Amino acid sequence: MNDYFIRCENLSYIYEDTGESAIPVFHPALDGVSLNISRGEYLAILGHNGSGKSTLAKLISMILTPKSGKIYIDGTDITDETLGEDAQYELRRRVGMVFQNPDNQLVATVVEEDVAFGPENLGIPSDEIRKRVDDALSLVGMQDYKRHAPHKLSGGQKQRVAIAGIIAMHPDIIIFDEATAMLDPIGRRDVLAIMERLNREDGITVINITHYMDEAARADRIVVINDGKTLLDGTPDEVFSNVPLLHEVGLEAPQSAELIHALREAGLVINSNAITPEGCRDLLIRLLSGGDR
Amino acid sequence: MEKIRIEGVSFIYSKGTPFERRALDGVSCSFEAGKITCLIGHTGSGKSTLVNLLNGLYRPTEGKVYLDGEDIWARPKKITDIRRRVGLVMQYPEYQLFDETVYSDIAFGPKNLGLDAGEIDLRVREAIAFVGLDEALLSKSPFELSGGQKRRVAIAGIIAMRPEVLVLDEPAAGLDPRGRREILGGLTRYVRERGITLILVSHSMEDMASYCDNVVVMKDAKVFMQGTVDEVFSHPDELDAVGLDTPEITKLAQGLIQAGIVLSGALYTVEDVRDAILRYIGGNAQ
Repeated sequence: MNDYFIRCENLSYIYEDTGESAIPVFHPALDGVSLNISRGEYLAILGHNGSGKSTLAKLISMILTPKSGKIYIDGTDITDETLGEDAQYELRRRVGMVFQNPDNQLVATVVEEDVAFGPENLGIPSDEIRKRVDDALSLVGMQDYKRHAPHKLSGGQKQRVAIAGIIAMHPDIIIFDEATAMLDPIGRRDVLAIMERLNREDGITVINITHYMDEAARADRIVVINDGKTLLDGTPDEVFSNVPLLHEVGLEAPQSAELIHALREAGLVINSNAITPEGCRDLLIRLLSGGDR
Repeated sequence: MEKIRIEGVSFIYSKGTPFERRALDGVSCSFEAGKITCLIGHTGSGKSTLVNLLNGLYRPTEGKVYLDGEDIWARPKKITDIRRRVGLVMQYPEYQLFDETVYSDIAFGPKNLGLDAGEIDLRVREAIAFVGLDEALLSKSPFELSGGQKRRVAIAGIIAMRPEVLVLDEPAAGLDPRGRREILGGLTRYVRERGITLILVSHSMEDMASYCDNVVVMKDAKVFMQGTVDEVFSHPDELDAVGLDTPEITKLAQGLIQAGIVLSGALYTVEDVRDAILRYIGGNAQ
């Protein structure tokens, strides 16, 4: 199968830490990860702090270069060192990334100028930039703030502006690297809704790296990274049925899956799994009214 | 018993300028001694302003803050004593680490209290144990540590001051599930063992259900609700109105109750609901 949109083959990455000592210390962050992602897929990546999941994201978005292994995006080998500058720019335009801290991503003093920053660098004519900026800001629901100062916005609003800046580049892929971690519940809900709309309505391939299991449960597919390797890869139902393994690597399942696991540990025989409150409720109603026992 | 009492407190930023903004408006609430109270509310609800009033970083525009029944601003020159008794850990405290080693960073506060080296050493080791870090890290530079480890070093620095009240603003923000459990579990154990009053600012209803005794909910510069976790959770519609979700597991249990499966007792954590279901099955078997 060569028609995957993103193809990662046997990726390895090592951080070199020279620190104060003369002898460098090597921290392997990724160790032989292979991963294929289809066009338009909504993928969540889970893993504890230091598992290597952010390193993987930085390799796909060309912030880092793998020590070994290959990455193909839409058939182009992005690790090819002979790749011309124009081709590299084009790839960087196609893969956008939203980071955790909203304060570290905004560069301009006015919201609309911040969103225009990327397209301006692409050399796009100004009337086209105007249109892209307006479209991007209305897509994230920030059109009323276009002349505001970014530093006076809430965390969730800043993050929406950062997303608008990516959208204005017309990317094919957006990677959200714990983009909701510093937000309050409303900010989180807004960003998640935008993420899902970009995926469903605009066909953008979304990779959501997160610590929130309920966010991961909404994706089409989940990949769990542990100690630089792929530990699990499957639908949310498949991944979250491995509760003991998730606990072992410092993760959790959504509360519904945790409850079913806890009831099994207490000796109940439950033959199916559920990861949503609705699914779990129906399963337990059947079980407790005697249907499944 | 009340450890801290806030009485009719208002706080106005930039008073007398065009940017004047009332961040707290006639707020009264209290924090019980030896208990864990969750301070919850939206960005902009006033909770961060309230936190800064608790240890005298801000002085109320109107109203009083009492610690053990005494007005903390009765003698403004003695306000540093209050700051020693009420330890405040801000959001993302890992950005405040500065010293060459983890040891000297944690020891910085106790040293400023004028303690002798033996006492300082004792406190540093005790504090690092409570936050669940290995003593081997003490000789390292704080900047070699992971984000979660740095966070814990910063919290240890406040614990080493042995405050009577510990206020933490979102101590688990951005951590993975294990990191959350280790920090919140360690803090809970610490306050229970030492009888300290803990005030936890959080957005997570799950954490509130798992770790806290009491809750103060802030909304639009006012106290919207306060009471025990049970009391506050018994008003799901009001919580929803301020954008605070009932935990997923509680919604699930409510769905079961509506379907005629009568579950009893607290239903706020996975363990609560598991036990309630096991009791239900046990009751039906008899």
